[in-house]
Amino acid sequence: MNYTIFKKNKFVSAVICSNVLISLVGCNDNAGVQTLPKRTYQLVWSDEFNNTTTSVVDNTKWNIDSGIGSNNDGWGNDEKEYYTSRDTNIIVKNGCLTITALKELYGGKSFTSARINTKGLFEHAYGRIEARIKTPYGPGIWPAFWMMGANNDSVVWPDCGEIDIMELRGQKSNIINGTLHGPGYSGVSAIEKSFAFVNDRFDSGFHVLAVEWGINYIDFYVDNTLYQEVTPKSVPGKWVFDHPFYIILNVAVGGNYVGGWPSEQTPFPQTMLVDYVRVYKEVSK
Amino acid sequence: MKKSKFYYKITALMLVLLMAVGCERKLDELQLATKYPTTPEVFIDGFSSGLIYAAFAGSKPTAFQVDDQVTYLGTNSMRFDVPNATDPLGGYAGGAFFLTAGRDLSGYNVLTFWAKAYQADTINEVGFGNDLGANKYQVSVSNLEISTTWEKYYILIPDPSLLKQEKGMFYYAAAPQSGKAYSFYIDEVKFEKLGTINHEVYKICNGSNLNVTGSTGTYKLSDFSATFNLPTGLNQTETISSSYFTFTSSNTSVATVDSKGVVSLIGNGTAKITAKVGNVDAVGSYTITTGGPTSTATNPTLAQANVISVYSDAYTNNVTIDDYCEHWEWGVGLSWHQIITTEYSFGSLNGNNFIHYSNNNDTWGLKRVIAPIKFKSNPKNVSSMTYLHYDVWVPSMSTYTSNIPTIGLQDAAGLQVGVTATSPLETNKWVPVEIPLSSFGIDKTKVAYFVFDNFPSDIYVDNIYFHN
Repeated sequence: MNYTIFKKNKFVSAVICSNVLISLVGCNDNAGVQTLPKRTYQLVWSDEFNNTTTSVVDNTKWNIDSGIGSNNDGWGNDEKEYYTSRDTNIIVKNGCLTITALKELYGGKSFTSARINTKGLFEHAYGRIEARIKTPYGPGIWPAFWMMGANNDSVVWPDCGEIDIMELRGQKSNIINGTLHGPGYSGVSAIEKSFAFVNDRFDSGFHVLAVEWGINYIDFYVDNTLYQEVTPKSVPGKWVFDHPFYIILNVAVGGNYVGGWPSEQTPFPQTMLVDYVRVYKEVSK
Repeated sequence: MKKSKFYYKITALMLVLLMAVGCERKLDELQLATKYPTTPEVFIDGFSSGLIYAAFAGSKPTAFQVDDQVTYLGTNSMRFDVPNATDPLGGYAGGAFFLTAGRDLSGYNVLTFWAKAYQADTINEVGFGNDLGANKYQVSVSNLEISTTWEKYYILIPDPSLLKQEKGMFYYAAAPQSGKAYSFYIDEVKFEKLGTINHEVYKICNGSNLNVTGSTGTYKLSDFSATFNLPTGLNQTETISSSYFTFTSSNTSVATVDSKGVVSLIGNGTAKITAKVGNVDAVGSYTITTGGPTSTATNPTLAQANVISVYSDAYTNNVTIDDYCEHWEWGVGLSWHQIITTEYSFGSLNGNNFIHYSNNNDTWGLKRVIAPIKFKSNPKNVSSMTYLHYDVWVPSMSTYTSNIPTIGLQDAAGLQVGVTATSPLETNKWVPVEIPLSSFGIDKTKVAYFVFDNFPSDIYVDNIYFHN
């Protein structure tokens, strides 16, 4: 059973009221049946993480990030981890990408983890971008599956755009958030909506997190439930989702999104399992 | 005149307080005798159907009251007034909420309740499965911290399929804090089936892999627990009854284990006891090796200053051991290639540690122990010492080769001299052995190896040292 939580934010709820196109009924056992848009897709890129000969992530598809960010500021979020490429933090095994956050002293930080991205290797606009993920959990743990405008070296954030397909705060691992950042709507003013399981958790099993991205919409999905649709009319600034983006997968430890530091009692190690990442383009009917 | 339905019994052990007993007969209670009601509510605004309260012996009987002023939800809550330690009516609060017939709880996975207090307090023990009788499926959380705002608490049911007829719905025990009284409230006590808790881990022996040696008799496993993750993302650990586990012995001709985790020794050898809760393997194990020493070697009495110790609990060991049994090889690549295959492990009895050497698989085709204890990276100067000493326990001579056991000392240059060890060997007792160092014509300023050579295939050794 699941329902949609509307973000407790005056601005966002005003947006939702005028732009919700779905017919979800809140809080009921059998939510109103959704009429999902019928779109036809063709696979253009994927990583099934089914490596049999190596446990290292495919370097023709992914860059492995390292350290604490180019501005030494915890990747802009005051994150507390040091990202490495060691197989204790990132490994492909049993058909899954496995990112593990560890509580250990390394590089001057108290935690290590991993972050990978497709910048310069795969950059794409529009279509359906999905991943099947089993998240980590625990206060201060912050997994994310997201995309960044590939022009972010020349066009500074947030103007390059950012699409967060899934972010989770480990202290409430039954809830994920889907978010768009752009000029005039970034950071605390980003366009965001939550999806919550009433009686399940994202770390108990695998779920498919996806966006469907067209010229005039970005739809956010958890499995087969459409929980947010954003259009150019719903954003208070320029719609910048009209150029290629690259994909990022990571598990952060601490940072502004999760309220600072993990708890002393947060269980470690924490693991995110990604069964696959798939990108489709829409084909005309 | 019709007798009231609402009787209470006073037994020798406890004072039962009559509380409101629900008298509605719900449809789900009118069932075949083989099925028990599945009612999940324990206390919502009053006692659920069939529930009775009894205070534990020695506790203040009036510590529990139904309260209608401070509730989380609805009209009533449970109030617990923990007495002062000096209260003449009882120095703590504790009791069980139970049924005379049972309930089928197999459809639930957790007991939940809301609690708060006027100041931050700790409830010593709270749980379910206490039926004032066998308490077969008891589960408890120790030292539950409650705060000044209503919070929800969870107690996991380890294997709900076992609770087909459970009578113990809820129990608690709370001692005064620093001797002083306090009150706390509990409300909305019920069983639930939740998908917001997960990652259950079950442990025996506190999750450790214990290694013990023994001879006869029984050994009781202990330290059974369950840890799970709360909706907040933090873990909680609870103590659970051994009845939730099924136990297995890896070698039933050595040791068997019953459903209560009692291990009985049958024969010589090694058996590893493991457990499961339902289909889930528990963490931790208990490995018992029999046939070893049934007593400890005599504790050495020499002063530390007179001793250079290789291995002993009685002394600070001042020889740096590289290997307790280096596997020397001869004739590598040749037809007569031989290698030492003796293995070692550490055992203990009553806290006293010893080394167990064994080898049934000698490349010479013999069943014997050859065990070079290596300290070559830091060769020891024993020239001020006059004797070497060790204690040895031999369980059986039946597999012995009849080669004469010798002790070898090898110096850093590789010169080794062997001296007859004990004559004759005795079994099933600790035999202390002393050999004068003058017998060893090596460089005693740089001793690099202490070797047990040609010993029977199963020996235990302790208190290996040089002395004067």
